Amino acid sequence: MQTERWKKIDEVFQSALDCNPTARAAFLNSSCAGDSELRKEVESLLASYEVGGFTNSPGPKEGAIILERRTGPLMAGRELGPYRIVREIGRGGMGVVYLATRADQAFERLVAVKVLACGLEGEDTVKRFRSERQILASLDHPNIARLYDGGTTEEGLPYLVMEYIEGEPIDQYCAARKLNVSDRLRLFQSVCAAVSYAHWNLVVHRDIKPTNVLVTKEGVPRLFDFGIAKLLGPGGDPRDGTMTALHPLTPEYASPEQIRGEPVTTASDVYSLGVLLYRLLAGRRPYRAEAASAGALEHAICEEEPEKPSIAVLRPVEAIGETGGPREVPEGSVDKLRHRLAGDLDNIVLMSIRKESRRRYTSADQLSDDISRHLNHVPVTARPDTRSYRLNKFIRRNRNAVIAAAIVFVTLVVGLAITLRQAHVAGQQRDRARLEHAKAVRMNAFLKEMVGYSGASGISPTHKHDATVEDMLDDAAARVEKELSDQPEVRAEMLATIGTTYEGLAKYDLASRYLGKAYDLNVKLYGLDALQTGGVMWQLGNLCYLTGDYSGAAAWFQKAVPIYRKHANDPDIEVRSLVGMLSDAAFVNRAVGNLDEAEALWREALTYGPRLPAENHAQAITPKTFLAQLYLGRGDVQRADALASEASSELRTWGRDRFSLGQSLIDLGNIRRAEGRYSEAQLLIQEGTDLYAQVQGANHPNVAFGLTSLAWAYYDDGKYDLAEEAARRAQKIVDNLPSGSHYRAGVYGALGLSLNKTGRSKEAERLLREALTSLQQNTPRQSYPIAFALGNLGECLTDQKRYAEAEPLLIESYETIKSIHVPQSPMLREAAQRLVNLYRGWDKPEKTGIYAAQQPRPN
Amino acid sequence: MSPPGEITGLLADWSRGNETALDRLLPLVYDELCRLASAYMRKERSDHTLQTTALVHEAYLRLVDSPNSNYETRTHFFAVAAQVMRHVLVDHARARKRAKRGAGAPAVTLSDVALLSDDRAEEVLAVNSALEKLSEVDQRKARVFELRYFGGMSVEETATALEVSPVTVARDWRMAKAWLRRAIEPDSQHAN
Repeated sequence: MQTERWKKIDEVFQSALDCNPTARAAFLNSSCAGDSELRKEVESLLASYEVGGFTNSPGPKEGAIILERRTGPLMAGRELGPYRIVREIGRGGMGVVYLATRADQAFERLVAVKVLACGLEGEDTVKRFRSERQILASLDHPNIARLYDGGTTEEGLPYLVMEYIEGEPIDQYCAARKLNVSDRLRLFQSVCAAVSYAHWNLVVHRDIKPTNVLVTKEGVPRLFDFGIAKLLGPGGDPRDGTMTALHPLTPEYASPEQIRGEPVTTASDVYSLGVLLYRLLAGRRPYRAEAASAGALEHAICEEEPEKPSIAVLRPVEAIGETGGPREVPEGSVDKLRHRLAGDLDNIVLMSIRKESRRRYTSADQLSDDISRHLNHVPVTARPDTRSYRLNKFIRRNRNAVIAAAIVFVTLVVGLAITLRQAHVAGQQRDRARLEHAKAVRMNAFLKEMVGYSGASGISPTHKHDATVEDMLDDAAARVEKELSDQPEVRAEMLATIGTTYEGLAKYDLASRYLGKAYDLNVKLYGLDALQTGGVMWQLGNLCYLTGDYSGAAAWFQKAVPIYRKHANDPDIEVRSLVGMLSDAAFVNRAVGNLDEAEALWREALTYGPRLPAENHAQAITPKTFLAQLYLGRGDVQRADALASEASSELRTWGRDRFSLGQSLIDLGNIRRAEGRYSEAQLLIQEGTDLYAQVQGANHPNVAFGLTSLAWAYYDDGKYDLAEEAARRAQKIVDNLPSGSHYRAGVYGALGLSLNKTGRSKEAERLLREALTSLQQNTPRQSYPIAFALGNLGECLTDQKRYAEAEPLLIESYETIKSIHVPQSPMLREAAQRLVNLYRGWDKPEKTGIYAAQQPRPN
Repeated sequence: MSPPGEITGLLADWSRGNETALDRLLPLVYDELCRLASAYMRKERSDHTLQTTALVHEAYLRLVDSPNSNYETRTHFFAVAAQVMRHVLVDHARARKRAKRGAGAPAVTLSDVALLSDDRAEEVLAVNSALEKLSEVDQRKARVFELRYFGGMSVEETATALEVSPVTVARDWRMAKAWLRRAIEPDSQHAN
C-alpha cells in the first residue's frame, strides 16, 4: 500500500473540496504541479464525488426489518417434536404462528404451531402451563379449533400445536359476503355456543375478537386461542407486570374489568361477544373514542356509555378495521339497517356490554337465547338501561366503595322487589296486601331519596371511601328513626338491613345497635316465633360469632333454628336463607365444641338441597365440605375424604361456582395432606388456589390462604424450597394487608418454618414473632390461631436448641388447643408432638409421658 | 442470552487482535439484534419506526453494559454490530439475487424478498466488495463507511466509536464515498 501517496491524494482531495469551486482549478494547478498522475487521480475522485450516492443508508430501516423478519424464516425447517415448521402465517401480541406438518405420520397433516412470545420461568409455571394445556386440549366442540399438543422450544419458548384452519376473520367474512343481519346473527350464535361450551368446562377465552374467530369456506365459525392468554399467567392475570409481552395490542374487545386488571370471568367473555356483535351489526366500535389512542379507548370502555348500534351506523368509518362503508351495509342502506337494529338488537348488544359484569347476560347461552327470541319475533329479555342508571352511575363514581354500596342497594332493591311481588299475589289477604303495598311505596321513595342524596353530595373520589358509605348509612338510619315512625313494618326491615350492612362493614357496635332495635321492633310487631324475628336473631348470632362471643352466638342460634324449622315448609320461605342459617348455626356449634350438633345441622341443611333454586345450587353441596372439615377435625380422615371428594366432583360438574369449587379442592387437599398423600394434596391445592385467583383476582387474600395451604403441603412433604416459594408468593399478597390481618399470620407461620428448615433461622424467628404480634392485635390469647402461632415459634426455637425458651410457648399452645378442641383433634396431636420433640431434643425423656400418649390413634 | 462478561471478554480479546474472538462475537450479537428487532416489531406494529441505531444501543445495554465495561468496549461493540448489519444486508441481497434467478433459496420468503429493491440489492453487493478493496487502501475510511452506511450511525456516533474527531469522520466519509463510487462504476465520470 502506497501510504504516503494515498495520504497526499487524500489531502489534496479534501482541500480541493473545501475550497470555493471557482478557485478549485487554480488550487489543483498549484498543489499538483509536476505530478499529473496525482492530479488525474484527484480529479477522478472529485468527479466521482459529484455523482453522489450512498446518502441513504440501508442500515437503519431495511437492515433492521430484515433482521426482524429473520426471526421468522429462522424457524423454517425446524422441528418441534414431531412437527416440522413450514412457514410463518401470522404474528400477534402473543407470538408467532407457523404452518407446520406432522412429520412422523404416513400422511401429512397440516397444523398451526403458535410459539408464544414469552418464556416460562420457574418449574411451577411450566407445570401450570402443562396442566392448563391439558384442559384446553379436552375442549371438543365443532366451533372450537382443537388444541393437539404443545411443549417448549430449545430456547424455552412455549408452543402450542393447534388445528390449522383456513378461513377469514368473521367480520371480514360477513362484509365480503354482504350477509344480512339475520345471517350475521345466526353465525354469531354459533360463536356463542362455542363460548358457552367452554364456560361449562371452566375455560374462559379472555381474548374474543374477530381475528380469533375464523369462518371456514363452509361457513362454519371456528374459535381458537381459548384461554391462551391465561396459560402463562402466574395468577391467571395477563396484566401482571411479568406479562407485558402478552398485553393485548388493542383493548377494543377487552371488558372494563380486564382493563382495570380485575379478575376475568365468564362475564368478560360475554362482554367481548357483545363488542363482536356490535362490530358485526354496526361495523363500528361501541365508543366514539379517538381511534389512535389506546389510552382514550381504555378510558371510554371503563367510563363512557356506548352508543346504540343503530346510532353508531351514522358515524363515518374511522378506526382501523371498521367496516360498513356504503357497499358493506348489511341491509342495503343505512336507513334500513338503522330500522333493523333499533329496539331489540340495540338492547341485546348494549346489555352484553354493560360496565358492571353482573348486569350483563349471565351467560353466552342467555345472550344467544335472546337473539333466538328476536329472530322468532318473541319479546327479548334485554331492556334499555334506564331505571337503575343513576344507581350505576353512583356506583361507578365511588368505585372504592362499590362493595359496601352494593350491599346496601342490592339488599334494598331485592327487598323491594319481593315486597312488590308479595303485594300482588296476596290477593285474598286484603289487609296484608294493603300493608305490603304501602310498605313498598314507602320504601321506594326512601330508596330514591338515598340515591339522590349520594348523588347530590358530590363526593370526590379522594375522600376516604368508607366515609361515603357510612355517611349514607348514618343518614339512612337517622331518617328511619324520624320519618318512618308511622310505618313500623318498614322501619323494622330497614333497621335490620342497616344493621346487617354495618356488620358487613365490620362496624360491629353500630351493627349491634340497629340489629338490636330491629329485634325489639320485630318482636313487638310479629312476636317471638315469627320468621322476621328469626331472621334478626340469625344476624345477631352472626354478629356475636364475628366478635368472638361464641356462647352468645350459640344462644341466638338456639332460638333461631327452631323458628326456621317451624316455617321450613311455608310457601314463601327463602330456602337459600334457611340453608344459610342452618349452616351458620353449625359453624357456631362447631366453634363451641358441640360437634355432634354441628354435624346434625349440616346434615339437615343438606336435606333442603333439592328445594334450592338453580342459581343457589352450590349451597346444596357446600355443607358437605363443612362436614368434611368437621370429620377431619375429629380425626375421621376417611369420612372427611369421601365427603370432600364428593363435594368437589359435584361442584366441578355443576361448573357455575368456581369459588366454592376452589374452596372444596383446597379442603380436599388439606385432607389428603393429613392422610400423608402429599403430591395429590399439592395438585388439589394448586388447582383450588388457581380458581381463587381467577374468581377473586391474583392478589386476593384468599389466594394467599390457598398458597399457605400449598406451602404446608410441601412442608409436610419435606420439600422446603417449594414450601418457601409458595409462602413467598403468599407473602407478596399479605404484605399489602393491614398489619393485624389473620391471613398474614398464617403466611408468616408457613414461611417462617420453611426458612427455619433450610437454615435461615434468624429470619424465620423474626417472621414467626411478627405473626404472633400481628395476631394479638385482634385475636384473643386463648384461641387456636394464637396457639398455632405459639407452636410454630416453639418449634423454630426447638430446632435451634433453645429449649428453655421454647418450652413455655409449646406448653401454652398445647393447653389452649386442649381447652378448645376435642381430644381426637389432629391439631392437638400436632401440639403434643411438638412437646415430645422438644423434650427428646432437650434430653428430658421423662417429661414426654403425657404428650407421647397423644399419638395418632386409628379411628 | 450469554452472560455480559462473556461478550466483554470476547470484545477485549478481539481488540487485542484475536480474530477468532470476532467469529464468536458475531453470532452472539446477531442473535441479540434479531431478538430485539422482533421485540420491537411486536411493540411498534404497523409503523416501522425500527432503527438500527436504537437496536444496537439496546443490544449494547443488554449484552455488555456493566460497571466494568469501558469506553473502548463500547466502541468495539458498535463496530461488531455494524459488521453484523453489513453481513445481514449482504446476505439478504445475495439471497434475493439467487431467488430472482430461480435458484431457490428456501430460507427466504417472498415477503422477505421485497424488503430490498432491485437497485438497493445491487448497490449493497457492489458496495460490499468495493469496501473490501478500500479497507486494503485505508482501513479507517472503510470502517467509517461501514459504520455509517451499514450501521446507520451518525457522524458523531461514528466519531465516538472510532475515537477520532467528527471532522475526520466527515472527511473520511466523503473520500470513501468518492472512492467507492468510482470503484463500483469506473466509467461514471466519463458519462458526464
